[in-house]
Amino acid sequence: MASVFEVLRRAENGLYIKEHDFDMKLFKTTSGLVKEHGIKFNKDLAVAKDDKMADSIFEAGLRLATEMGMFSTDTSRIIEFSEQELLQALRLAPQEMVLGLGKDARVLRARRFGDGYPMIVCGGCPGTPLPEELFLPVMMSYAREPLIDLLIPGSLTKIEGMDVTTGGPLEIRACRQEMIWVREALERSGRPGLHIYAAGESSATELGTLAICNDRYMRTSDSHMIPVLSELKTDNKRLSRVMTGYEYPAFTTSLINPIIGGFGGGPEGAAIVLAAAIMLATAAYRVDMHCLHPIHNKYISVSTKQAMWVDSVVGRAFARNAPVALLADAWTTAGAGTQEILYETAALAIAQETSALHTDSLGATNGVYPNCSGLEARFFGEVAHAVFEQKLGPEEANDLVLRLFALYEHGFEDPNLGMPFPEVYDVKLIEPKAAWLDTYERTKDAIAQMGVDFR
Amino acid sequence: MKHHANDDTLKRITEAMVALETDAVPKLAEDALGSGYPAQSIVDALTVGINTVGEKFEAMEYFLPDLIMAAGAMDESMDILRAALTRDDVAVGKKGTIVLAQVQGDIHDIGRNIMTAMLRAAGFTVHDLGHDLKPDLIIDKALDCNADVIGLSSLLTTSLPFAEQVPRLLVARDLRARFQVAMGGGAVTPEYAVRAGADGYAENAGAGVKLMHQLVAGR
Repeated sequence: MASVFEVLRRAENGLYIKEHDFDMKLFKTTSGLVKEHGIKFNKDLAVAKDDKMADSIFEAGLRLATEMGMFSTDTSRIIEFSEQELLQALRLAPQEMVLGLGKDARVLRARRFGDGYPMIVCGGCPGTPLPEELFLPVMMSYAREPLIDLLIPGSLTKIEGMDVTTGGPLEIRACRQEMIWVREALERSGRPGLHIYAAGESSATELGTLAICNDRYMRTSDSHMIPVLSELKTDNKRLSRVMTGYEYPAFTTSLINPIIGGFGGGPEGAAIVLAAAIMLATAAYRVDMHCLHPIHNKYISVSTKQAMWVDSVVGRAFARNAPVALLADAWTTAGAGTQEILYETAALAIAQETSALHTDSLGATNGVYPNCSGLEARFFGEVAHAVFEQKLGPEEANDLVLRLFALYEHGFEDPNLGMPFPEVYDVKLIEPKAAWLDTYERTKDAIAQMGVDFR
Repeated sequence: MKHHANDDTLKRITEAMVALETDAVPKLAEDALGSGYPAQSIVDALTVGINTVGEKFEAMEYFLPDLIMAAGAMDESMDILRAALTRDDVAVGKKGTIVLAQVQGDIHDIGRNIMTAMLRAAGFTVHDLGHDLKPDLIIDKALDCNADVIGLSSLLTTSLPFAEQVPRLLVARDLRARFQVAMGGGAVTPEYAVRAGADGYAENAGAGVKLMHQLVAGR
């Protein structure tokens, strides 16, 4: 298996290629693999059930990862890996991790079908810009939800009234303040040892990660994120995060955003690209887990049928062929306070739980507006646990997801963005307001009527 | 000489574009010009074709590389036709000049690639300046390109402060009336675009094309 230094060496000395040529080669190679393996997305499927297709996607992903490698945009060189190196990296990837401390610790597993373990539920509002005065109460609304196993912070965009800018000095302060407040939210909720996932959300560069490598901020029982650039690319900033993790033994997670309709092609190609990116991130970044976030070329949200299917088929592919810990994002188009967000939440929870995935939190309004709260995360956990207990199969899961999809698909063109946190929660008591609670209860009843057994 | 839309030669140009025979398209355009077809009729045939490619991209029948290749074939064909187009023609490339930039700190490219290809397909002259660009440099480039519109994209909330620097610097440099400013990208909201002093906002590439038409027409 290539060491971190060997990866850096390959980034400096690998095969030279123009970025445009790399992109077009990726399209050609992926299109060829889709044809060769006869992979076809069925628009009536959001939850994959075909084991043979899942195996083909794994095989095609391995071919793509081997043929393309990972492109360094700083050096225009390809970081190549042999098939043997990729498979070895997958074999050595952690199968079980204790995340967090003491009684609040949770075991994150590389899931397999029928292994008897439910998904780990991560709550929070990744990427969501939160004003300083709301940061703590919003985080407390998640920390207080007992079904949440891990907590992901939102983003602080202002410090002392000044904008936090990418690569600027306030990224350091913002990430440290973010961790102080998340830790306080956990302590005040009686869950001081809960794992903080993707710590340093307020920074888009390695500055924030470096700034929090200290027990006061990001503990070694927490994790930070190292994105793969779309598609199958990296750069020195991402590799600097890898180097940061080399000597600070917090957990690490990748972030992979294949574009559906982009250089990988349609959902079939995006699934192959996602599989390849998981393999390459495991080998090049040595991450412990992966965050999956396919992006629809028009609607962005992962609650489209195409994006849910991409996650689902890749979850199935890895659970069957090389289990690694996969956490799928559950970003919704709608915002807190609406029935639509709960329908989207339920669909995503069902699709992910029945596809051997964990969840990496619910980003309301695709992480754009601070219209988020702990209640929709509670709902995600309740639905995921219910379908796990019901032992829902992929066919039944797909039927349910499609029925839910019909209830929220209008929102892609005309999103119901809901309301900011203070309008749906009592900010002092950190409790949902009556109207939001009523919407939640009515929607839960409606979904129970559809066949989800909330015992 | 026939040159209406149902003419076989013009139809073939449209079909070749729709079928993504991108190597054949410029040659077909050149042959048609050589056979005496008015340049404008050839542009019209190309435009029908590339609009269909854009629709197929939105419907996810075609993908980003297809769009890029079709826009490249359109550009190549226009290079051949440009000299023959009379001044009064409503020609591709005369719709307006756009510079597109990913603002400082943001290295995301794919959304801007889509926007670039769709605008080129719609007949705009587009200068894709790339990513991670300082606000002042974007303005310098817009002046160099004699642009009508500066299109700014950001997927990162922490790069938005650099986006709003562009309208502010335009004011400081006494150039605000010279350019229209459009904003888009995952981190941008319509409310933010107004606050930042932009002239328009688009939530996706399809809406971006419509916005650019409006902004150029409003100049």
